[in-house]
Amino acid sequence: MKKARFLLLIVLLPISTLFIGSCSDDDDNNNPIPESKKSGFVLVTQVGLSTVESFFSQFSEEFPTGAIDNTQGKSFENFFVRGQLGNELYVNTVDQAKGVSKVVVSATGEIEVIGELATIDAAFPVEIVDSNTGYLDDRNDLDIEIFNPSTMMLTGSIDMSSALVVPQADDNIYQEFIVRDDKMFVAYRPRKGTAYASDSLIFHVIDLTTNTFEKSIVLDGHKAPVSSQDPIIDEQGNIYIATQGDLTVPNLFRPSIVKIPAGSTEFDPEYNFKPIDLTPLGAGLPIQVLTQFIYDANGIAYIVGGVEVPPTILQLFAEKGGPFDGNWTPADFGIAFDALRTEPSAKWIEVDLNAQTINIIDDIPLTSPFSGANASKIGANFYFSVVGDQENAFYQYTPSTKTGIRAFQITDGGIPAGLYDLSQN
Amino acid sequence: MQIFSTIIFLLIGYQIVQAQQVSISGKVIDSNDEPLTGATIQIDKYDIGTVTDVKGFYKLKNVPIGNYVLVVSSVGYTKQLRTVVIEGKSAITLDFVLKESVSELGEVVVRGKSQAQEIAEQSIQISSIDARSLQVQAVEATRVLDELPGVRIRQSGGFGSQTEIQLNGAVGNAVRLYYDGIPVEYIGSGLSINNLPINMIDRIDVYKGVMPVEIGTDALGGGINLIQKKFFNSFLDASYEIGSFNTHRATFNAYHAQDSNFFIGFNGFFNYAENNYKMEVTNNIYGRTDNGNLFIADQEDIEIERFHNDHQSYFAEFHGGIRDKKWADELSYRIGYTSRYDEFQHGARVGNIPAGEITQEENAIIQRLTYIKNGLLNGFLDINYQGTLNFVNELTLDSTINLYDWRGQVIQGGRTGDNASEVLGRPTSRDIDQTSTSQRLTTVLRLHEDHDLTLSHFYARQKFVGEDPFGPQILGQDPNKTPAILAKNISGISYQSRWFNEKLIMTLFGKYYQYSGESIDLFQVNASVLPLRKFEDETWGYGTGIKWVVNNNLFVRSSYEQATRIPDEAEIFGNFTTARPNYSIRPERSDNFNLGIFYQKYFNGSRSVKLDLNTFLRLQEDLIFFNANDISLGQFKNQDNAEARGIELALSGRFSDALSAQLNLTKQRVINTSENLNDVSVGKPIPNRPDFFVNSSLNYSLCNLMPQDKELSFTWSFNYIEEFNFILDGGQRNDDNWVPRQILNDFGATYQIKDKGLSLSLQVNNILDAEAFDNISIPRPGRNYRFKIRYLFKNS
Repeated sequence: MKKARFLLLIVLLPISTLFIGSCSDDDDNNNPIPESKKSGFVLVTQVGLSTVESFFSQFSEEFPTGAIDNTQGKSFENFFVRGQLGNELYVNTVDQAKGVSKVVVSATGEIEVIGELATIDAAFPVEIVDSNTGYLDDRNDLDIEIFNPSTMMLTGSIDMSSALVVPQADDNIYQEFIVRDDKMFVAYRPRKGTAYASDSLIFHVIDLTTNTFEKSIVLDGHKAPVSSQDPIIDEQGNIYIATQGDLTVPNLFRPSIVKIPAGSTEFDPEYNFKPIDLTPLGAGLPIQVLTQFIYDANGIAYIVGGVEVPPTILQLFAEKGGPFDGNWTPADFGIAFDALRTEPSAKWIEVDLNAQTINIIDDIPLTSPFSGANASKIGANFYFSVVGDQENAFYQYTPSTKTGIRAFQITDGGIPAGLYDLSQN
Repeated sequence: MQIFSTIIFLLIGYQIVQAQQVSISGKVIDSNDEPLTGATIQIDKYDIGTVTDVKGFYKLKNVPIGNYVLVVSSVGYTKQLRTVVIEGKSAITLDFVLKESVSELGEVVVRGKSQAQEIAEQSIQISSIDARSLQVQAVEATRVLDELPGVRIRQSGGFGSQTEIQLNGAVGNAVRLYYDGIPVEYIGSGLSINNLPINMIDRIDVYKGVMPVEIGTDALGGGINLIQKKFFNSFLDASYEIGSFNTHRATFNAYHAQDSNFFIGFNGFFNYAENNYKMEVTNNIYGRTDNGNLFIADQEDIEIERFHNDHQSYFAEFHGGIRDKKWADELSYRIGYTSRYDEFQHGARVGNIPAGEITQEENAIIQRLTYIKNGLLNGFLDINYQGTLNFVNELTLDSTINLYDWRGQVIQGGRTGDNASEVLGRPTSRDIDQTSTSQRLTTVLRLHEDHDLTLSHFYARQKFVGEDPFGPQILGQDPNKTPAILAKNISGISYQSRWFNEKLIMTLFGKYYQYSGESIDLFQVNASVLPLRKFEDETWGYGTGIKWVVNNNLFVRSSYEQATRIPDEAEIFGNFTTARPNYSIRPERSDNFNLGIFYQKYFNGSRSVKLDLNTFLRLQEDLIFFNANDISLGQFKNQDNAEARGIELALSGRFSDALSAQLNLTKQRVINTSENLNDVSVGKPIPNRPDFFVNSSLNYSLCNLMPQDKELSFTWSFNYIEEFNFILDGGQRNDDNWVPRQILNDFGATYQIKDKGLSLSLQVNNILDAEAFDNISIPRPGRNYRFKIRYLFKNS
């Protein structure tokens, strides 16, 4: 009897698959997109796996508090938010394809992709001006593409073939778009090598009334502009650009903030604000870092600035007889960069762009400067990410009282990659 | 210590007592006095059996006193039955002469233990497939392997495409691949699991986590050994196969024994496949700006045929030698030439931009010298030597300014500068010569009838030199032009003992790994002349296997190895394109445990049932991954630990001469156990590894309804793979992160005309045209057909 049952099992197993396998997929992909949430918050965290990077994005009606397990959200292969327009987030495509995805939160609280714009090569940077106009660079060529965020269709392009190219850098790619009135300032980045391959800070100026390249402007002594989610333009129309300098060449290119004055399309040669030099160790810091830049009002902005040297890098200094000389190998730089990702050594710093002064925010602990430094302004408060040995959190900073307090801790799902208020205009 | 001594004394005493048990030995020859290798000798009442060695000798040990019928059979010979009365003698000698049988010229299934079954019943966990019985069918070696418990084979796009082997939770380089005991990394990819026809293989052995010293090199999670076809009599075996997607395969094996000592042979194969199967894609529709630059104007979802996916490979080998001399059982030399050409339709994923020009070519000359002598010094010593000297050239071309759409149309000038490559990220024309040698010497010292000591030493050296005119220059030099060398010495010692009439079999082994190398030192960027960097390291490993035979039907076994994988050349020295050196990289380590139970029962007639249940645990540390997050070039680093555990079941039954079935089931889980507190994936399942899969097959033969020399058989197999996610999924499911559940059914029919040595086979794969995927979400072909004709001639 048992043998018979065994035989029956073996025979029925493949047969059963005929019926299982022939079941049709009744998924209806033509359902209309449900109405999207107009308010609430999206927390994005990034998982740095060894072989795969992924992101978790989670919606909450109320502002997150306490301990947040962001793995309860939805995971994506990519979720680098490049722009926001109301309740719409514009992210580099959420899978391995190249382009931009438009993302909303459905009425049921799920993150949904409602539009995609495909590009040939990576799409970066992306600037959303309004519901009809956005700019992106398809890195396949020099041109800058113009698109309509509502339809996610390309509407034109800007010919950049006349723009300045650093010869050894092959050709142009771009680090940031800054739109001010009828001009767009495009931060140049060399295609070959690292961001440090150019020895000058180069911006291209675009006339948006004709969508034509106007000129390239060059500022020597600065390099590697820091891309910020929103351009730093004060109430007068002054543009401020933070530059990292060259981490691998100390005392030559150090972090600085430079300015394109209101009404001008040239750099202000006199404005050279070096906020890290004003920290306690200041110019004596053998390695200076500036990785985030967000504007508040009245000339006040916030940066993440290195205030200490990570212990691993100090050890390298001891082993190599000093910082960054000919004894340093690419492997040593690799170790140093890893330390900047994993060892808290930077602080959130308030900077006064007019007075060129700084105020280190003591209430917020040290953070790892290369590990997801992230800031959002929601209501009257700022929310700054902090990643350290004991911290993986967003801190709330209230400018009016100059106080900081932990807003919520992220217990699972990775390091902070963004916090978005869907009711933002 | 005293207790230990007492146990040893008792065990040895027991051995001495048991040595008085009856053994039956002898020789099996044919009517021309030729020894028959691989003949099966079986006792009818008990599940005791063995096969003859290359000289036709056999030995059945520990046969209980009584009356029996000995059944002796061999392919192409009439089965012989002889009644034996065993009384008080300790040893009986029985020789057999088998007459050739016209009616059994083709392959036959004999009751008894094939070599594959002998191997599968060792103390360490091995799955072994007897490929000979499959050679009449139009099946792929990859598919056969994929049906084993614990094994998943995934490819990147059809026949011949790149293969990823997953074995008990280990993946990629952790699973070593061998061709007739030679690690394939020394002979190139011309003889690999993705292109080797089943008709070129005798057997596939899958070592699960524990590698014996005479096979293993530095394998972290086990290995797969493709055993080349062996001949002992003059033989001609040819096949041709034609299939969907313009697939053609031909194999040819010829072997001639001039006299009893001299032999020559020729074998080879040819494969070609267009792999132009259909799949659904999102296709870009391009437009041009006023200044001629390209942009994506629109997209369309269409069904296309893959258009840049050809595979072609061939292999030709001549071999000759002498055998059965007093001083050598075999001394042979082989020289072969392999060639393969592959096109790639896309990178690791199917995007909206296909590749249309990237290719890889490889040509290799492979030489092998083999010396085998068993039974030296009155049976005390066996010697086995195998040495290879190989020349491999590999050319990778990925440089084009053209862009392709999925309709196969060329968009000229669509790529520029560093973007002028389709898959590799930058223009590449890398032409590399590899000169390699591998030498293995294995000696077995038979200390006692039940105690063997095996000593093995493996030495291998690879030298790489070449050029890449499009690649990065370092101080004005092409770094590929400076030779990179990696050498390995792996020594092993293994002690095997059999106790209590072979009811208890124990194996202990240890391995010593030493490796060294040199290459251009990319770190010395400030030197005026780039110096060579030398590198050397060593490590140890060890393991054990125990098998306890409960009765003739049942045994349990357990095995363990602390396994090691030595970093590859590119992992140490970088590859000059995307990876820089890491001279401090450590070998990967893994503690591999197996525990299993095996049950087999024969019933009246040819009915039988077999169950092989195995559990495994793999504790892997210092796993090497490519870390691309550094300042410029990435680097291979030791950065993750993982724990894989699972259970696998192989169940098979033969219900009559006509009907048999098998079921293989695997349930596994692989967890990231890294100590990196910044890695939130710690403690979570490692994505992109299916955790449940089932294979089943049903075989029915019309042998009883057909004339005696004809056979029509049918095979129905199905493959079930539970859905799995390829990145970590969250509380809110994202369907885009999942590879759907796959249920595939294949059907095959084979008609054999045995007296003419002819067989015809039709195979319909994916008969229900179900959705199927290879690595990650790469679509696999829908319903497709293969037809195969095989001719087998055996000279008397």
